[in-house]
Amino acid sequence: MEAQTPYLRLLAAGSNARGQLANGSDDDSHTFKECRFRGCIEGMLPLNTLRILQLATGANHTLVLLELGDGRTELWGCGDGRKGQLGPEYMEQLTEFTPISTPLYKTYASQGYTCCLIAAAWETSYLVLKLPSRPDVVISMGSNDFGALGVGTKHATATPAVVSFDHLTIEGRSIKPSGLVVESIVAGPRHVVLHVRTVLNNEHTLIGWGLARHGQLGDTKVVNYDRPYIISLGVSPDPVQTCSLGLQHTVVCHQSGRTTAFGSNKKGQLHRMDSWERVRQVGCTWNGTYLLRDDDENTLLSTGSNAHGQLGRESQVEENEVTVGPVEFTSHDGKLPSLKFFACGSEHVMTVISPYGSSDMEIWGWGWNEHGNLGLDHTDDVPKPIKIWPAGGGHALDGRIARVWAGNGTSWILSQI
Amino acid sequence: MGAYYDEIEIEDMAWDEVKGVYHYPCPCGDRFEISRKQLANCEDIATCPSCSLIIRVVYDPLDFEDEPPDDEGSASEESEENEEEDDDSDSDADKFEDALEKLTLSEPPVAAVAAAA
Repeated sequence: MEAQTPYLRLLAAGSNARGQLANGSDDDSHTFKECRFRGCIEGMLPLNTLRILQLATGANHTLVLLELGDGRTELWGCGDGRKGQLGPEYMEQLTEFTPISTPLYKTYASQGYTCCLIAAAWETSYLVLKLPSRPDVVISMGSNDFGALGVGTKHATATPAVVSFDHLTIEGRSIKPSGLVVESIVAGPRHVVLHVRTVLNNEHTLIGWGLARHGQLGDTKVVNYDRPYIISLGVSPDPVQTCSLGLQHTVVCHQSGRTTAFGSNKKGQLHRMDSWERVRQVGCTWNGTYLLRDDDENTLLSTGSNAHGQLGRESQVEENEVTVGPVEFTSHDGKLPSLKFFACGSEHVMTVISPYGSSDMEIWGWGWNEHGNLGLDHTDDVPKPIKIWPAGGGHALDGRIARVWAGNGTSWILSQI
Repeated sequence: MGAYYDEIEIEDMAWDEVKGVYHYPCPCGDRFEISRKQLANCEDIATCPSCSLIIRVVYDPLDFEDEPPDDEGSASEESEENEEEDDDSDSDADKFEDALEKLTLSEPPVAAVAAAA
């Protein structure tokens, strides 16, 4: 059955030193510009693309995982490839999205494996490949700083590797990697966290590696883990719904809506972030934490660094005082919008909202804006949420907002017409 | 903290063998950099070439006082201390050399033990 493929546009703004915005240049863009996909009509995604399953941003590289109409997925990437984060075929720089297919990935694809999940740390990329009735495969490629590849320190970088879980045990029992399902993979700049489930007895576990010395992987026993390590947080009774990683902290939202936070609290990023209830979504900037509560008001709580207005609540923040409080959305009619979704960049935040009583969608954002990453055609920081999209004036074909993402001084909008 | 984006302990910085700098992620995607020579000179501000942001590096200058005055050849001198972050492909060759070294050195003590027994 042929699925009806929608007309999708991906737009990006912000920091672009290595072509990570995929707009054909390596100059910063202070307004949203269309991303280019190699060999495709300008401004369009590859033919037959149903949706973007995931978009992951590293220091200066970007990965997109596309779902095609025939059920297959395709991984495309752009930006900096010098550490092997785009695979061994592209060790320079790509200023437009290009299909990424390393020989290792191809070997699995030829057996029928599909790339289902992706993540990007600073200069390292992660792919999770799945095939029914076969064990999930986690591939890492790129820089191995602080053990980011998860395969020990002796691995030659720039060669993609399969991450092994064979050495892990839970309560003395081997976890049988063949029966391990990777539910999600999330990467911060310097650490990675996987939510896995055992097929045999349906146990849920968090596994991580990378920099650990601030407790971002659950304890401070070592500087870093260069192989997968079980995070000592019993998640089986209340499995992980979403998880978000800052530069030195980790926040988990459980299926019950409860939260758990660990790691560095130097900027107050963990302040009262443990044990909230009725939370729908968690997000971390590098030094801040955001919780979207599942209440009637759709409150978005923020805590952590506010040096560039990242907390989005100008009036309530005293200098040098750590507080948790709601982000202040001020609409022209004074009525609170309905918050649908938010995305945290390194030091800025993007949200999708519906104005009060409306079904329209708008994108509002705030925070650090030195690279024009809010797409407002200026580079001043924005301390309170401001409407970003639809930009109005000359954007007759803006379309319906399908998704937003935020990266390291970059913002991304997927719109559907 | 004021003017600094952050204050960072040297342990959180990664070492770039090729450029000879310690580096730390900058939220713009570039990185804050500082050389061993700067650290030896008690400079503690690492800058990002693409941004206005700067960080202050927290470290003990005594750890860097043996730094040679000019940058010449500094990369090879530093490799010892940063062994765990290296990914050099010469590690096999190193091991071979190590083994040779140990072989000659260990022979006399082994003989002595045997004689004593």
